[in-house]
Amino acid sequence: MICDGPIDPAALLAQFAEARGDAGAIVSFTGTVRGTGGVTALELEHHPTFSAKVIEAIGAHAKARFDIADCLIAHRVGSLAPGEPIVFVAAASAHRRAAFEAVDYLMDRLKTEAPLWKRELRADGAEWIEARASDLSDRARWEDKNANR
Amino acid sequence: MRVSYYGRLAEAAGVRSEEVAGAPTVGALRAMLVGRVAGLGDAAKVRALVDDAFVGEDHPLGDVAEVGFLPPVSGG
Repeated sequence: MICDGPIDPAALLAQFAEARGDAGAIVSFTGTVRGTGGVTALELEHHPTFSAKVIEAIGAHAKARFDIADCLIAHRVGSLAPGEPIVFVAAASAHRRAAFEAVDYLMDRLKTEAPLWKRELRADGAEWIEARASDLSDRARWEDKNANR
Repeated sequence: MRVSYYGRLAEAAGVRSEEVAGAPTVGALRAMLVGRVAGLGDAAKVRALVDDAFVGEDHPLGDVAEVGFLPPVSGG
């Protein structure tokens, strides 16, 4: 889901655990806005319909690919201050490995495929950010299904 | 037809969306706008979206209401 207001990772995890706590294992990841490099704010733009569809599809792919009971994706858009949560991902599975892998996979795909556009604001100007080469190589790890399983 | 720009393209275009007429295909539309919207010419990086699906340069625009141009993404 796309959130235009603050994300509360603890509340999201509590809700997810309430619904899926009987699965056996829950792994979650929270990404926050880095405060390094003089960044004063981060602005995230999204597409009104396509962004949510792609994020939903990435979640569905994770459920098809890994032995997980469920997963949750919450992504912030709008203007964020350093330290604020920007993304929260969780997966529940019977055994921990599938949930760890699913969360790693979800983040790699969100970084490189979710239609979101990020701009860093600094005292001396603003800069659009694109997926880094390391993000693309992280994503590529999942292309050979057998290589990392 | 409505043309919408996202991310750095909206900044380059100076608008988030605008009405454009007279382009029979995505490629023709791109050619029409590239002089004004910096970066739009790179079809490998800036993808065209119609009805929430990526389309190629020869996609016809005859009865299309809106085309989005999406620059490289940066989620997470």
